[in-house]
Amino acid sequence: MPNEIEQTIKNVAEKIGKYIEDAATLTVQTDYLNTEGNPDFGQSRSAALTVIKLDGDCKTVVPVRQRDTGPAEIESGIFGLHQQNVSTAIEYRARILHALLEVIKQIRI
Amino acid sequence: MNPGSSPVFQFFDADSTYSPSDLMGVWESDEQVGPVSFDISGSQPVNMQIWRANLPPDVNQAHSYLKAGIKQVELSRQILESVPSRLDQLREELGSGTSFGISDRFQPEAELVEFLANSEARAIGVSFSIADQFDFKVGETFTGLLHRLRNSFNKYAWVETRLGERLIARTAVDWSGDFHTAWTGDLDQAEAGLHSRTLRLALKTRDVLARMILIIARATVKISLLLSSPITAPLALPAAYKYVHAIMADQELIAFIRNKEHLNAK
Repeated sequence: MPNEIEQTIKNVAEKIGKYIEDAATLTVQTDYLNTEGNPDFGQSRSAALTVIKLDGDCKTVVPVRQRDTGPAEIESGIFGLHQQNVSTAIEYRARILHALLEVIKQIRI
Repeated sequence: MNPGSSPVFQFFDADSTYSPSDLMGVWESDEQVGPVSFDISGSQPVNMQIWRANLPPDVNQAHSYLKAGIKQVELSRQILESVPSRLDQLREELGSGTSFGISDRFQPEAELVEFLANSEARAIGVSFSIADQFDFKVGETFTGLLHRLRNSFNKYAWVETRLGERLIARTAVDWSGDFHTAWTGDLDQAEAGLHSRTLRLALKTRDVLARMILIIARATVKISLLLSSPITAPLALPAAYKYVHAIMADQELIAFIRNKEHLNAK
C-alpha cells in the first residue's frame, strides 16, 4: 500500500511537470455540424480556432461569410459561441493552475 | 427532477467510484452512461470522464435546471471554504484545554471530537490488530482520494448536452484545458447557451472536487496533530474525510448561506 501511495504521488508530480510544459499554449477549437439527415459528430467541420501562447501571442481563425459585394462578414453566431468557449477555457486554465499550485504546497508539507 | 428515465446530470468515470457528495449532489454517477463510440475527431476517446446533461426539450426549463445545478455547486464551494477556519477554531478550543467530552458544538465538530476521543481511548488499550485493520481502510480511502484527484487533472472531460432527444453539442476538454467543441449548426442563441452552461457546470464541479480533496488532505494533517498516539494517527484521514463531508451536508449551514444570499439579493 505505501508503494501504491508513493506511485500515485509520483504520478501527480510528473503530471504537474508535464502540465507546466503543456500550459505554454491554450487551444480552443470550435466545429460545426450539418444537422440535415443523421448528424454525426465525427464529421464536424472546423469553424473557428484560437491559440493563445504563454508569451502573450494570440492567433484566431475567424469564421466569415462571403458577400457578393464588399468585404467578407464575420459569422457572428458561431464566433460568439467560440468566444464564450475561449473565456471558459481561460478561466478553467487559471483554476487548474491554481489547484496544481495547491497540490505542490501539499506535497511539500 | 428529470422528465425522462435518465438523470438530468449524468457522470461516468470508468475506473473510479464517486459518492453523491463527491459530485456535489448534482451529478449522478452512472455506469451506463458511456463510453461513447466516437469522438469529435472520429476516433475512440480513452481515459475520459463523461459529463452529460439530459435536458428537457423546453429551453427555459432546461436553463432553469442548469442554473440550479451551477448554484448548488457554488454553494458547495462556499461551504467547503468554511472548513479550514472551522477546524482551526476547533483545534484552538481543544488546544486551550477544552475536553473532548464537551458536546455544545455543531454536529460535524461534535462527531469529530467524539471520533478523536474514541480513538484515544482505543490507543490506551493498544490493539495492533485494530490498528492494522484501520490502516487497511485508511489506505483505501487515501488511494481513492488520490485517484480521484489524479483523474481530475489527468482525464479528458467529455461534456455533452442533450436537448430532448437531440445531442446538440459536445466538448472535449483535455487535462491542460484545451477545448474542442462541436455544435450542431441549427441552434439559436438560447439553445447554444445551454451547452455553455453545461460546460461551466461540469468544469466547476471538477474544480470543486479537486479543491475538496486538497482541503481533506490539509484537514488530515491538522487532525493528525490532535492525535497523540502513532497507532491512531492514520485515523486522521478517515476522520478528515468524514468531517468535510459532514460539513458539506450540514443543512443548517446550507440554509444559512441560502438565506444570506436571499437577503443580499433584496
